[in-house]
Amino acid sequence: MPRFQLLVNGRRRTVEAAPGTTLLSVLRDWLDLTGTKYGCGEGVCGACTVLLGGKAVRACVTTIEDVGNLPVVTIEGLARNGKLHRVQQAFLDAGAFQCGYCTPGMILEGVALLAREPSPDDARIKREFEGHICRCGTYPRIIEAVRLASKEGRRG
Amino acid sequence: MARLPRPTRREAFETIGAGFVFQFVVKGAPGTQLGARLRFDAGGAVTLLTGKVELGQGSRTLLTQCVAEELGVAPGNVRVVMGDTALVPDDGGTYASLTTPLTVPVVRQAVAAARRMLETMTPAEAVKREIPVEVDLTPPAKWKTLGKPMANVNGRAIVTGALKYSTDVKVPGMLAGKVVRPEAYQATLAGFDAREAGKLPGVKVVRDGDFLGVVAPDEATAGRAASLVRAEWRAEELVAAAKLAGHFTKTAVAPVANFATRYPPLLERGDVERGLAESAGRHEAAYTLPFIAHAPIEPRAAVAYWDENGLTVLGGSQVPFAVRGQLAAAFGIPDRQVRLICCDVGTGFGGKHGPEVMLEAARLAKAAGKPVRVAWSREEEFVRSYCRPAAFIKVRSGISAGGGIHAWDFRNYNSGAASLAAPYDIANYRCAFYRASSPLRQGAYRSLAAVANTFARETHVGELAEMTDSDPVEFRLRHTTNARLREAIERAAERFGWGKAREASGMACNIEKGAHMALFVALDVADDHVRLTRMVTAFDCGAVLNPDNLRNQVTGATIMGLGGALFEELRYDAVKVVNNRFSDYRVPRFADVPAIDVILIDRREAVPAGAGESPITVVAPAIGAALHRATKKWFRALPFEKTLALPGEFRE
Repeated sequence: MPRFQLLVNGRRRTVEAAPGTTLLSVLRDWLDLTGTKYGCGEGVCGACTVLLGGKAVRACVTTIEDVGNLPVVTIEGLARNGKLHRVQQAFLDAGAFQCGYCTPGMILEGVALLAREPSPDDARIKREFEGHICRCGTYPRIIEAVRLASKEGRRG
Repeated sequence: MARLPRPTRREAFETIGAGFVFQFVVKGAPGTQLGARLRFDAGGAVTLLTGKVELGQGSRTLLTQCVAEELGVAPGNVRVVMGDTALVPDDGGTYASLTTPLTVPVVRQAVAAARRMLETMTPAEAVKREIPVEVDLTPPAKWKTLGKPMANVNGRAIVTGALKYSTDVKVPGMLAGKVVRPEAYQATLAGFDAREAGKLPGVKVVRDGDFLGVVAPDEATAGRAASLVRAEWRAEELVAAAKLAGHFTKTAVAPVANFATRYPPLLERGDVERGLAESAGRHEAAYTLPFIAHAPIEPRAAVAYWDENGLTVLGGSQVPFAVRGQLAAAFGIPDRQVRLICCDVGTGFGGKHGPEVMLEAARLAKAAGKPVRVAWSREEEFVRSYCRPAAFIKVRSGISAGGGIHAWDFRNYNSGAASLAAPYDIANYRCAFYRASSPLRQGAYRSLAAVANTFARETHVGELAEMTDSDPVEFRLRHTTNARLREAIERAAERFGWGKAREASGMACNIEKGAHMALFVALDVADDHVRLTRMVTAFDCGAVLNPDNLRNQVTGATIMGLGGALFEELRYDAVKVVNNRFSDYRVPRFADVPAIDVILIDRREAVPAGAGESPITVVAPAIGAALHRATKKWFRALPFEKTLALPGEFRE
C-alpha cells in the first residue's frame, strides 16, 4: 500500500491507503475524525465539507492524491485551546441546527466564505451555500449565523 | 467508543457514573419506582432515564428543561440517558409528536415526586419508593426553565464535531459488512458465485435466504468484495405510478368505525348521500400524492456484536423497544437477550422505525463471530428503506343554497387517516380511509397522512370558496366555530396583509395532534418554476415549553413541506427506483426558502401539544391555492412543478 503524508489540523499524519481512497474515508476511518460526515458520496450535499488549503472542498469526492501538500482543516481543528472559532460560536448563538449532522460542513463553508468575503450579503451567502443540504430546514438560521460571524469578524 | 460488554444491571449504571438505581424495566407510568426514571449522583447531578430518542427535534433539551424545572436545579446539572434498552424504561416510540403530550407529563410527575421525597429522605431511599399517582406539577405562572428559550444541550458537541451519531460508532475489532443488493426493488435470489470475492484477504460471504452479504476487515475491501459477487436475481414487477389510483381503489379494504385507535379510519355524521342529493350545487375532484423519500441526512448505520449474553446493537432507531423485539424475533431469542443502544440520530422524520440495517449487521456479526458495522450508502438509504405512502383521494361535496358546505364525502386510498376529519361544521359528512396494497414499502412520515388529507381537503375547500364567490379566509371562518383555529387564521391573515397583498397568495389551515395552525403564502411563477416570496404561519400548540426550539421546528417543518409540495417524488420504472441520489432527487435548499414569519400563539392555560410535525401539513395546500391565483388553475397532483408542465388535468 502506498504511504501518504498529510497535514491535518496542524498535525503531520502518515496514512497507508489504496490509491484513490477518498479524503472522507481517510479522515473518518483512518484518523477517527468523525465530525466530517458522509451524506451523499457525490459531492452534492456538503456534509463532508473540509478546508483544503483554506478552500472548502467535498471530502467524499477528493482523493488522497488530490490532497498533496495542502493543509486539511476539519471541524475538530477549528477551536483554539477550547475557544470556539467565531463561526462555530455564531452557529451556537443563532441556534442554527436541529440534528446537527450537516453543521460541521456548514461551519467550514462559512469559514471559507468569510475568508474570501468578510461581509457577504444574504444573496451571496445563499449562493455559496447552495451545495449544502439541511434536511431539518434550518436554512434561515444558518444565514443568520454567517451574518453574525461576519459582524463579529469586522469588530475584530 | 470502547466496546461495551453486556453489563449486569448494577454495572450498567456504573458505566454512566455511580448512583442509585434499583429497578429498570418498567413502563413510564404511575406505580413504578422512582429509580427506574431518575438517578442521583453524589456530586448533585441528576440523570433522567428515558426510552425517547433525539433526532433533531429537541427532546433531549426539552426533557432537560422538565427535570430542571420540577427539581429546581440548573439545567447544567441534568443528564439525559436515552434509548438504551438495558438502562431506560420503555416510553414508547419517538413518533407522532408524542414526547410533549405523553412523556413530558410522566417525567415531570416523577421529578416533582422526587423533589418532595428528597425533602425528607436520602436519594438512596427515594429511588426505592413508588412514584405517587398524583403529584402537583409546577404551575406555568411559576416556571423558571419551562416556557423559556433554552439552547440545544448538544450544541457545543454539534459545532465541534464531537457528537457521535449512529454512523460514528466504533467498537474494537469491528469488521465492515456490506449487503449485496439486486438492482431491482424487490427480488429473490436465484443463485450466486462468490469465488472471486472470497479470494480477497479476510473476506467472508454470508447467504441466508434472499439475504446475501460480505464481511471484510475494512469498508473498502467490503465494498470491493460485494461488487465481485455475481448474483442472479429474479425481479418482481412494480405497479406503474400512472396506474396507482386504479390499483389502490381495486385493492381497497373498506374501513369500519373504530374509535379506540389514534386515527379512526371512518368518521360519519348525518347522511352524506342524502346531503349530496339535496345540495344546490355539487363538486367532485380527485387528488394525488406520489411516494416520497424521508431522505434523512444521516443514512442509517449500525454496529452489532454477539457474546454470551446475546446480541448488542448500537445504532439509531425511533422505536428502540419495538426494534429490540423485532431483532429478538428474527433470531428466535427472548427480548432480554437483545440490547439496543440508540445514538442520537441525524434525522428520522418517521423513516427510522424499522430494524433494517441493525438486522443486517446482526446477521453478518453472527456469521463472522465478530462485531460488524453496516453503513448504508445514500443509494441504499433511498431504495432499501421505506417511503411515504402515495395517496389517491376522492372528494365529493355539496353546497347549500346559502353557500355553505352541506355534504362532504372524503375518501383516502392507501395513505392513512391522520387529519381525516375536516375542522369545519358540516351537517352531512363521511370521511374514510381505505387501506390498499402498495408496490413500494411504505410507512410513517412526518405527520403521517395529515399531509395528504390536508392537501386534498384544503384544496377542495378553496375550490368551493371559488364556486361560491367567497373569500377563502371568510369561507373558512364561516365554517368553523373553533376559537383557536379562528385566531390562528385571523392573526396570520392580518400579519400577511391578506386582501392587500399584490402577489399571488393563498392560505390553508388545519387542526392536527392538538395543534391549530394557518399558513399564508405568496409566490410568483415563471417558466414552470415556482418562486416562493414569503410565508406567514400562525401556530398554536397550547403552552409553549421552549419557544426557541418550537420556532425552529415550525420553520423546519414548513421548509421540509415545500419539497413535497413542489418537486419531491420517488420515481421508479418496471422493477427499480430510478432517482436514488441527491443529484436526482431534489430536496429543499437555500434558494428555495422564502422569508418565513412564524407567529407562536402561547396558551399557558392549555395542555402542550406536540409540534414538530403538524406545521408541514398546511404547506402544499397553501402553495396550491396561491398557484391557483397565479395561473387560474387548480393543481390537484403533487408535486406542483411536475404538473405545472402538464396542462390538461386541470379543472375546466
